[in-house]
Amino acid sequence: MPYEIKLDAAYRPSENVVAREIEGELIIVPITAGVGDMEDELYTLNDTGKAVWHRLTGSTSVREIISCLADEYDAPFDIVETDVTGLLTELLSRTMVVEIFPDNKSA
Amino acid sequence: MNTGISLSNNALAALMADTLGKNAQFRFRAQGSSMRPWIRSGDILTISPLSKKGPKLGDVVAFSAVENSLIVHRVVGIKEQKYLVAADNATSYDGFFPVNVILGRVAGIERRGKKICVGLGPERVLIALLTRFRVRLRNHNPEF
Repeated sequence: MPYEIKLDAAYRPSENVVAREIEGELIIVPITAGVGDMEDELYTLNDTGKAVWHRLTGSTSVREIISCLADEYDAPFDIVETDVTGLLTELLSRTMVVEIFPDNKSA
Repeated sequence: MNTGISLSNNALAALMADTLGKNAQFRFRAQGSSMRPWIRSGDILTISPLSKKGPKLGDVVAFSAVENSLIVHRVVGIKEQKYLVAADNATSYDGFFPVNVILGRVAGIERRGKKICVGLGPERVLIALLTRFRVRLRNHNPEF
């Protein structure tokens, strides 16, 4: 099933994940059927991924995140957009983030 | 995203605490031989959040009493709301710990894909008492 990332939507981490930065790495453990399983799924994000994850507050739109990162990394908007939407697509496909519609954004 | 990850005890303890804090179970691979034969290195342990009453005598608990430690040993005594913990193969106790350093209790053990039932049922109290008896004999310690 394809996932479309909307630039005007905001996203936030799902209630069904544990995410913690440990020794410089952001580690994400999905909770599936009430179990956080270190033997099944465990993810880390690189520095760019971490920069995106920390901005997934549910109130900042994808467009705002991309603009912010493009400024921060002095990179073209469309290059950052590809990276950010690619990561969000993967996170969404694993139900690690949830979409907040533009008219329903909350902090 | 990277999925091939090796974690320190510190990281495991932190992730376990966060997961149990969401009232979910935490499943991970045990290392070490201090709880043989009930738990062997490589067994998969499922840790459950503690009940409001705290651990019971004989429960196998995961705890982190000092920085960068994650230990899975058995409650062999309870005194004044502190828990005396020791490995099943111990020659000494780990110590008395308050409930706030105990992360959760072992609710399941899997070995090579099969569930292991021994060591967590009613027999856990007997194992705890035998461990305490053995440690006391070895250390000539009349307390506990």
